[in-house]
Amino acid sequence: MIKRLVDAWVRQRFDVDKMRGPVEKQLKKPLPHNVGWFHTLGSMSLFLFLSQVVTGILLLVYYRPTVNEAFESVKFIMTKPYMGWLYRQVHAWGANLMVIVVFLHMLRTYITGSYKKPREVTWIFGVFLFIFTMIFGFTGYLLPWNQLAYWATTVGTEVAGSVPIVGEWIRTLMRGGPSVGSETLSRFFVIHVIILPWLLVLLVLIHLFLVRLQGVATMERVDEEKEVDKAHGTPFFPTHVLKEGIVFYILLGILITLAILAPFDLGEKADPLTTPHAIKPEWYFLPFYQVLKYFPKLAGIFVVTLAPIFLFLWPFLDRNKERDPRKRPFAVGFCILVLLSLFIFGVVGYLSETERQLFGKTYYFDVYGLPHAGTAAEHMAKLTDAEVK
Amino acid sequence: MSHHRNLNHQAAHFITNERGSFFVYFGILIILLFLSTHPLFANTDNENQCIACHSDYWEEMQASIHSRNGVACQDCHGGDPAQADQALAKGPETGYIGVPEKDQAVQRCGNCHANVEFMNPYGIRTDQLARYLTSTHGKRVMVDHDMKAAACMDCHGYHDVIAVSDPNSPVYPSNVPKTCNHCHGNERLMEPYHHPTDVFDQYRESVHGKALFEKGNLAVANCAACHGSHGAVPPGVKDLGATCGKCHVNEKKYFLESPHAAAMVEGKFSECTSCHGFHDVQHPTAALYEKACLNCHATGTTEYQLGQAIERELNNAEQAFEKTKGTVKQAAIEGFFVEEEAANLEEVKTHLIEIKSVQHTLNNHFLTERHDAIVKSTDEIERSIRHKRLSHKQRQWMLVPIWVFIVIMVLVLYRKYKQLKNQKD
Amino acid sequence: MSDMKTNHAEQPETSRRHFLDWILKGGFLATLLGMFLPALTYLWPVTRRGPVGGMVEVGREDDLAVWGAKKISIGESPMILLRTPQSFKAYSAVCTHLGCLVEWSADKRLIECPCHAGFFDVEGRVISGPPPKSLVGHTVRVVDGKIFVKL
Repeated sequence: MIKRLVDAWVRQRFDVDKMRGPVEKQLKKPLPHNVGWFHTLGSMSLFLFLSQVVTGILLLVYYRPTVNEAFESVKFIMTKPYMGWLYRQVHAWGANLMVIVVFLHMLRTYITGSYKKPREVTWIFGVFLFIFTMIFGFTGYLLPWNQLAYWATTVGTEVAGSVPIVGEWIRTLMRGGPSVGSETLSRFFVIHVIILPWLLVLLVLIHLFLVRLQGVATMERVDEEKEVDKAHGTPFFPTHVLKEGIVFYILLGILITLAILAPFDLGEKADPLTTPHAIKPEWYFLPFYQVLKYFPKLAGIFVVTLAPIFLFLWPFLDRNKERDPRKRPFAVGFCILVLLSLFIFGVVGYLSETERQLFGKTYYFDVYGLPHAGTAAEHMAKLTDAEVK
Repeated sequence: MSHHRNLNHQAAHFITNERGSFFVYFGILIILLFLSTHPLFANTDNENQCIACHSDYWEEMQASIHSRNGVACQDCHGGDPAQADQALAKGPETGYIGVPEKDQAVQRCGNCHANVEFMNPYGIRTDQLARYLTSTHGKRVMVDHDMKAAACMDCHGYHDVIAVSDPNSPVYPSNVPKTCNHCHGNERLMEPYHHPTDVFDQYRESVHGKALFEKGNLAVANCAACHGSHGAVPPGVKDLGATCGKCHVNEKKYFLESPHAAAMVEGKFSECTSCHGFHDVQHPTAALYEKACLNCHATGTTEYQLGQAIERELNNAEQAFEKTKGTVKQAAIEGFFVEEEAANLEEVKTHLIEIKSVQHTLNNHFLTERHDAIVKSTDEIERSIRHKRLSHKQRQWMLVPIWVFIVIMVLVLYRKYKQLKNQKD
Repeated sequence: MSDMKTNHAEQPETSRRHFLDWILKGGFLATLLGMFLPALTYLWPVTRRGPVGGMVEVGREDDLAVWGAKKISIGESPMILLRTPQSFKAYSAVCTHLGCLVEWSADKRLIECPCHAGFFDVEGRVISGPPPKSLVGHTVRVVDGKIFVKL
């Protein structure tokens, strides 16, 4: 009854029928057959972004972005307000999951050759989204102002500062001064809370618009794509959306489970006078951080910047018209190589400068990741002064 | 010939005209001014002619507290400072004594510094001479005429005496040990007196030395604090307690309640140093009970057992505190709200420090009281934190209904999805 | 006859579908509520004060006699609050010697440390004993009969 009244009221003012057409078209848009479970990753990226925005806004209510209060405010959030701990953990885990899911989405796009003509621009926007997601992570990581945050940011900005010519300038700009301090916190906060969210909203909208405009890629060769019609395609709504719903619920479950079973520490308040041993950046920066160690400064910067450059240029470097991964052995092989090296260097980076017990014996992995028999203390004692530096 | 004459004529003409006269008078003035600054002719602020020749001493004296207060050469050395001529300045009626002998110098210092009326406006004490005369140094110098022993200037300096509160003064608290060591670390000098010369090294490694030199704590004991400064004597066995007890008030108070107090009166036991040592005092730990008691008590005796029991309790209390400190810290790192527990821990810390004073009573009963209080508090803190951890664990139960709900939704969604797919096909 | 049969066959099918739809709609609603209702409770002010930052209320003026003192704890910092005839004073109760908590001696009108007999005056300065530095002072303000201390 009420529904009919509201309907009538709206119809008297807005041309509902004119809107209905395009909306239905978008909703019922047929997707090619190759669209499977892995094609839900894009929506999951969006879901995680929205989750971060919502939990981020909630955290913002109690968070104080000053050096004196930041740590205490996070402690307050974790202990006092109802479910405060949950929002903090969901936000922290959500950040990590978002990097993973965006990466997997990018991987899927690569494997299905969807980045090829005519969708190169969509891919470019996507790479930007991935990079900005990592910057989101980097800036957000500092905000709790604990020891991990402070020193990881010090190391990270130091690496940025080793770029030739403009390095020092970049580092000072990032830090807002000679070292990480209240200025750094302020600017990271601004970037994390206003600049990046709106930037990502804009980029996501453009990215989605392009996807919708050009339609989801099929597995046909470049320049041979046939338009998907209703009879042969799967409707976006409700069929594909149901798939997304399933993956959404499972992802939500994983997120909450991680928040409860593996919560992040509050940590110790940042102490600029005490450097903890072996500071490392967050896991998604580890492979690059580790690779940098093996090269002298300039060479290292060059090698590491190859990665994003390659990502951007890939659709233009790849001349193969095939989309089917089985018909692109080189591209797939290259991809596996990259994944392996990311994994290996990531693990090596994780193990470096730590003491581990393997098969009953103690090993110390040095800064390059090479294992030495004995404990950390024993290894340190053997180092010469030059090596210690 | 005519050339010369011409020049002479020109010179005479130059001097006699107006411009020339001006230059001549001006030149004479310059020369006079220059001569007036020469030390031989210069007048100083206080018209002191000594420094005309002895300028190097004047440099030393300039920054000294004496020269700033109008004490000059003649006050210690005699002589007439107004005389520029050496014979007149140091003549017999001037009271000139040259470089005084040590005992002479002591008297000279005392002329002012022991004069209560004179020193009144300066606000410094006037008992230094009196104390000095009772000291070992004083007796050696004034009675035995042994000039090798220390007198005023050996510690305070000669011409460059500055205030004790000035960090550059050789008797500023952190400089005292080094000053004493000048003589007391010199083997040749100390040999006839059979004094040990390693005291400075011992002191430097001691808890007092480390506090003074490494942490800059000026309130800590230095040579003068225990031996006295002007009245320096090695404290006798009975006096040690008074010396240490100046700062370690509670320990002294408790010690006097212990069975050792009687032994001290009888002279068999030195109040603090019997167990703790003196120059090389280290930060005491409960392990001291292993070594120190054995000096007099054999293992197996009741006394020794008591010491062991006390040691056990102390260690137990210390361990309980350290363990709970770690628990509270770990909980704080993880993000638990433990401010109340941390505040309680501060109180436990106070008890722990108190117990270290109380142990000097060697009375197990007092100790046990405090030990039990410490253990009770730490147990409460541990319990409180365990409780908080438990309530966190209870959050895990939330997962059960959540996953049940998720599984239901996934199944329903999947069912629907399958339905739609079948419909289409 | 066949109509009846198909009708009959359809009925459980549609009702099952409706049932499923009903669960789905309910589930989505539950999910949304589950996300946003806790957020409302989260937003409701939880204590009188938010994260500790400025002046903290520690008691009432009338509860503290002149020349009296009170031990208070702000966050993790133990403090001692004094009242002189002229003003209120607050100091960190941690003795600067070895960290024992100091106490107020009403008859001596001095702050004393029970561990090694360190004495501080009402300004927190060391009068005698081993403490090397004065007690750390904190600003106190009295507004409307309430005592506030600045951390």
